[in-house]
Amino acid sequence: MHATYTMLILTAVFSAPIVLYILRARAGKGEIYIRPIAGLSAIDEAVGRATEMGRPVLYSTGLSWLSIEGLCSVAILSHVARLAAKYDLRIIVPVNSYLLYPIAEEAVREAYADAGKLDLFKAEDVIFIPGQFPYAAGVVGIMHRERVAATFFFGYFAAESLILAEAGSQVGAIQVAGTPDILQIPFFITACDYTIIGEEFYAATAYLTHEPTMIGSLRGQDIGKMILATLTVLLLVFGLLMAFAPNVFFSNWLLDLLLR
Amino acid sequence: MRRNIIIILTFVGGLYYFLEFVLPGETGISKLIVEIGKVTLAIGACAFLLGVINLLRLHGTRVVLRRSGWHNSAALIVALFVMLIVHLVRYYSHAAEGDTVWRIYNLLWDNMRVPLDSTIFSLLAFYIVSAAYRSFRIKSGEAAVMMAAAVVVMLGQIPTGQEVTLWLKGYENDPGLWWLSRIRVDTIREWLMQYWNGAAQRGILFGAAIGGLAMSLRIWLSLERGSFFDRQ
Repeated sequence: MHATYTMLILTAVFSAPIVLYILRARAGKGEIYIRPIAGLSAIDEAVGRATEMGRPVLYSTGLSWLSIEGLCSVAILSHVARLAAKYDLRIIVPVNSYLLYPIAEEAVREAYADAGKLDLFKAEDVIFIPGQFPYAAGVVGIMHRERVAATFFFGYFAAESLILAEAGSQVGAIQVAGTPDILQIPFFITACDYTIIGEEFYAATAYLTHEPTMIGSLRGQDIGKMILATLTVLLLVFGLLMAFAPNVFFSNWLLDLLLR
Repeated sequence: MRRNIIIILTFVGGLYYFLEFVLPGETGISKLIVEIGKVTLAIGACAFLLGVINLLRLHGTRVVLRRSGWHNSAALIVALFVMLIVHLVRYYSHAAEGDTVWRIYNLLWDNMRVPLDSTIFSLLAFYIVSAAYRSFRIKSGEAAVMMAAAVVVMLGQIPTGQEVTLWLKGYENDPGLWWLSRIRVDTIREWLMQYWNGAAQRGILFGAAIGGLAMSLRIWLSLERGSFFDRQ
């Protein structure tokens, strides 16, 4: 499959503000305000609670593999593992994908190493569990056996999302979830204390690190959304024109152009 | 040095797939995509081996040290090797369907693994009930609206529910009362799902698509900062 000209132009239009604002932010131009996201602020609270209870936290990457969701999940994992290492806390990370597993293990190891607590890192706590339902069964078992105090679900999830979130709810864990998958968002909203939805998932590392580069990227995303909203309104007008005046000369021409 | 090599490799790899996608038609680089895919597969195979080693290390230690639940770990290791051996024998012996090795394979996969999967999947039905009970408690105005919408959608989804207002379909050709045929449970369900729910879902998808694009760009151009990938 190859891109159409329209796709190519749209990719450039949406990418340009992101790269532009990243470069501006790196050059230190302009202050950018980020509205707080409750779900991301709750990560610190959940780790703190687990520390007080002296019980481990569980971080699930779901069925994510070596994709953008998976890499974004590892970036958030890195932050959670750093917090866990800071408070001498154990973090259990079941990973479903064999491609993501070594990356997740490295992220957790590095978090403990950076905190100067490599002795607390247990390679066995980053567990490879292949298969969708074996993964669900395995994670539910870990939650009950280890009586985890907090659970984090970040990444791509399918039918197992509610099984995992309900199991976490049963053990009384404080739960934070984030997924770009629209079908699983309702399940997480129902069963978790905090849920990060849609683009917030991809923006999580920017919120967590407050790095100028990442914040610049967020501003670029917002510009992209404004362009998208404008395009939606324009195409709505175009759609109405097509419906009510199908013979207007430019409507067919524009449709042809967009599909080219 | 290590960081620079990773930056260059990431950029070149990303650039290849980007160009392959945006350049029209079957260009020279498109012909390489299968070969490059094989490289990814080979890397994946190595990563898979790491996963298996992790499983053996984790469960092997439990068995050797007789930790609590060690018998479950032993069962996992036995199952892992039995399935591996049976599958390899089946593959390399070119056994015909119905042969002993095939029957053992079917016993292990179709009659054991698949029902176990279904068992876990079936738990979802009970979890949905408990999750629905929690969400549909009317605690506010919004919760009441959601509850009402959920009742209509659930009724409109099942034949028994659709039957309740099916008689309204008879007014479809009535010039004065045609609108009654539009307020059937199934049509309201469709309206709610297609327009209200569909619009909200698309809104989330738009944002997620741009967020995914931003994340891809940051990783491709090694612009990710302050997270794990910054230090790699």
